[in-house]
Amino acid sequence: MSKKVSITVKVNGEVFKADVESRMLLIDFLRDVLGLTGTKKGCDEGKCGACTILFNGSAVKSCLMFAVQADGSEIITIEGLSKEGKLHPLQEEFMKNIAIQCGYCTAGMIMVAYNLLKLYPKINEDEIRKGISGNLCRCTGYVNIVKAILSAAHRCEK
Amino acid sequence: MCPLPKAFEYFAPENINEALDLLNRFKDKAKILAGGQSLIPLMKYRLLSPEYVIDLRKLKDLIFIKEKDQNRISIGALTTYIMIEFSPLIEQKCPLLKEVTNSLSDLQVKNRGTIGGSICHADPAAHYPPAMLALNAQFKLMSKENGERIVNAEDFFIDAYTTLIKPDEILTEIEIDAFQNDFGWGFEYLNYGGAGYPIVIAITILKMRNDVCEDVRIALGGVSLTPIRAKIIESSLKGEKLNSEIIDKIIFEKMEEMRINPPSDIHASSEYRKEMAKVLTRRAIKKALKRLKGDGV
Ligand SMILES: Cc1cc2nc3c(=O)[nH]c(=O)nc-3n(C[C@H](O)[C@H](O)[C@H](O)COP(=O)(O)OP(=O)(O)OC[C@H]3O[C@@H](n4cnc5c(N)ncnc54)[C@H](O)[C@@H]3O)c2cc1C
Ligand code: FES
Ligand code: FES
Repeated sequence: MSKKVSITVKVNGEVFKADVESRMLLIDFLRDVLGLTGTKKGCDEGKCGACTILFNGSAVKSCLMFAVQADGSEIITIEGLSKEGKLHPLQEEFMKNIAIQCGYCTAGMIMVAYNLLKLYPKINEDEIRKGISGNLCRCTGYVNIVKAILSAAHRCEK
Repeated sequence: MCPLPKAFEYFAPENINEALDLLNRFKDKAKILAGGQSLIPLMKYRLLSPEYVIDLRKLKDLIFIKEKDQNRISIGALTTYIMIEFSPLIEQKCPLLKEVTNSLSDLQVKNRGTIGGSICHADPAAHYPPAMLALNAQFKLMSKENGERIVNAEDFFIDAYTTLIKPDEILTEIEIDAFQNDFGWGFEYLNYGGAGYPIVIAITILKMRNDVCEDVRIALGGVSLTPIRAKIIESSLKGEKLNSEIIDKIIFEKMEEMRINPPSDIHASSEYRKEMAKVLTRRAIKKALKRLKGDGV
């Protein structure tokens, strides 16, 4: 019954055209069709944030969107943050501050942090903690994640 | 992992008339898709399996926040939470709605979720429905056959997840009160940790003349299947000289008279919700008073 729908999406600067089933989730499109497996699927119901990507510049959970909704839009995933082989300050600070243990939440954390730094040019710790409240980490206890985002914020301010 | 939703046919109409046409054609076999933050989870759990999904993403005309006149603000149904939270007009003219928005959910949900979606979804624990009651909201509903009608927030919510909206109607615009200098307000809620739906919400808007309460609105969420106005408490407060003891007395007595019977669930029993409704209403009124006195809150 469900017809395939043609979509055109710009992902990490590259334009992709595809015919997708209307019920295909955006996360499955990114991972299974485009092979961009940096974006993780945790809960699959909007509650863990592991699947967070940037959709037209805003952090969204890609398990709560259909791929067809992304037609004509621009997406950045964790694979698209580094420029010319150089990591984004957020990625560097996550490494420096040991804000990663198993790494499953990391891509989502970094993508939501990216949006936070844009929203709050002078972000403080409270705003960070509130800002990552949609992202679960089962390993780190969040302290180093918050530190990493703060350090990246200071670097981006300069 | 969730299963995939049942297969459906997808439409992304270019304008409101096209959307109304489609809805008129498919009626209750179709669902409107706005931000998808409630609809998509429901479809994944297969609690809802519409045959047709009508995505409003191209209807940019329904994204706006503007001053209608001195007393009212008008918001397009597809305006997202994050736009409301960061709107200078809302900050200036309806700080209550900014604070409510700031407290709800998480950044990702706020980037997608819309005011119209929240109102039409009518979750009994959601933030916006009681805020709409407190702000004397009116909703503009459109359909192909009957054109436009305006419904008061107070009449709109009729049961849990159930509103007056008909299967062929789209909510296009929400109108709320703009604040005047002589309005005080309070917003209090109880969460069970982290981002997410609160257990109970109390919202008050207060107008005083000298020390006497001239007007007051109290809206509660989480204590019933729909958001409610605490009218018995409101009318008892009106005309009273307000101080801490009187506020406590009236709220504790009159809340009993309201005979609310909140639902029990894993987060809170009915009794506990009832107690919290009293506590939070009291705090919200006191905060509104403090704001009016410029005591800083
Ligand atoms: C992790 C998570 C946490 C959340 N936490 C909270 C919270 O703390 N507080 C809270 O209040 N909410 C919370 N929500 C729910 C959130 O607010 C939803 O975004 C909102 O309820 C629905 O808005 P939407 O635009 O996403 O609507 P959708 O999901 O697209 O639609 C919801 C329903 O409304 C209908 N609809 C939407 N727009 C219209 C319209 N213009 N006309 C007619 N019908 C329409 C749809 O057909 C559907 O039935 C949370 C959601 C998630 C996923
Ligand atoms: S996988 Fe999307 S929020 Fe958990
Ligand atoms: S590092 Fe393991 S979930 Fe966060």
